[in-house]
This record gives sequence, structure tokens and C-alpha cells, in this order.
Amino acid sequence: MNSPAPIAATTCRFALEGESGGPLCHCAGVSEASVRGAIDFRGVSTIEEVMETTGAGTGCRACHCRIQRVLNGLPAKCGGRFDWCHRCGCVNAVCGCEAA
Amino acid sequence: MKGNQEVINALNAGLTIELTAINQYFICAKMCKNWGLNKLAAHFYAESIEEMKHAEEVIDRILYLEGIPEIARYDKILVGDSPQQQIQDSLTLESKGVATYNAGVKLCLEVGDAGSRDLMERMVVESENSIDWAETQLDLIQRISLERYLAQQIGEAGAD
Repeated sequence: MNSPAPIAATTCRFALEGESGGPLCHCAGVSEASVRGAIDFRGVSTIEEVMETTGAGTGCRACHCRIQRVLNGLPAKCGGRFDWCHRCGCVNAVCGCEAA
Repeated sequence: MKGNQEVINALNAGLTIELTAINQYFICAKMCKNWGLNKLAAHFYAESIEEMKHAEEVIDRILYLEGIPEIARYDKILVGDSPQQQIQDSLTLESKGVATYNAGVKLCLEVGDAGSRDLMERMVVESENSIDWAETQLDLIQRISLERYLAQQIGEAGAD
């Protein structure tokens, strides 16, 4: 019987042990799951309502594009070459974590 | 002027590294000063201020392109518990900066944003200078031993 395939190691040279996830809104430290929960269970449907309900987006406003993506039913991460990887702190163009 | 969103994202990635570096170099400077390593402290302090000027340039460019600077996003701030580790952490951070800005330069060439490319190219060169410094220090430690290296870093107490 074949042994199970080993879990691929993180290949990104900048990856930090135990780092994953990360907030959608860095100012308020609000996760994507919290924003999604507010949309699914509390009926919020606009960025203003997300701000009022979760606190996300009330600081520098740089996360508004990510909140809008979640409101549109998409993942907060746009997946572009310069999207941020919370595990290694690199953009996708440099990060090797996704390929691991 | 409305800029390309991916270029703005690339500039924001660079900004995150600059903001992280300001703090990382600053705590290194203060720790080295506390250890009595005044020359090394002065170097880290100057690096911290330089990173702040880089951050200013990047923020100005993002605003010019009508983007929103990600001023609250930081990478992990590595606080080395020895001078050698601090130099190694500086090397890691600056290497990340070079890789990020080089990817940004490539993007700018693709979308025809010469202004952002010029800025990012200058940031690459600045980071490479910092990498060169860190590699030289680590090489010196290997050559003359840590004790002799640290003796050279005591210097005179400054105002920092």
C-alpha cells in the first residue's frame, strides 16, 4: 500500500512559520469572515453598513475595494499579481506559497 | 491622474515594506544604543529615517495616481535579539523589497507607467545598497569574529 503523499512544504523563501490568514481591514483588525458574517446574518448590503456593523473600513479606507468584492460575493483577495500574501508578506508576483 | 490599479497595488506593496522597515530599523537602533553599540545604532537610525522618506515618496505617487495608500498594513516586524540577528533580519526585509519593486518595475514597463517605474527602480537601488551593507557586515563577522566586530561598533555615544 502506498504511503500518503507528503504535504508540500512552503516554497516561498520569505514565508514565516505559522503565519496565515490576516485581516481584511488592517486598521480595525477585522477579518473577511466577520464581514461575510455581517452580510449573511445581519443583512448588511453596503460599505457604509459594513463599516457601521463591523468597524471594517473605518480607518484609512484602503480596504473598501476588498469589502466591495465581498459584498459582490467574491473573495476579498483579488488574486492579482500584487495581491498580498499574509503568510510571507509578499505580493503574488514574488510569493512562492501559493505554488507549494 | 487616474492610475492603473495594479500599479497602485504594486506601490502599496512597496509601501508596506517601507512602513515595516521604518519600525524595524527604529527598534534595532534603540536596542543597539542600549547595548552601547553606538555606531551600529547610528546606522540603523539613519536607515529608519531613510525608509520614512521612501514611504513619503511612495505615498505621494499613490495619491497622484488617485489610489488609496495602505498605511495600516505592515509585514511582520522582525526584532532580532542580537546585533547579528538584526543585520540578518535587515537583509531579509531588504531582499523582499528588491523582489517586490523589481516585479513592480516589470509591471510598469508592461502598462507604460514610466513615472512609477522610475520611482521603483530607485527604490531597488536603495534596497540593494542596504543589502550590500548587511552582507558586508555578516562577512566581516565571519572574517574577524563577532567580538572584534562588536568592538568596532561601540563608537561614541551620539544624540540618537
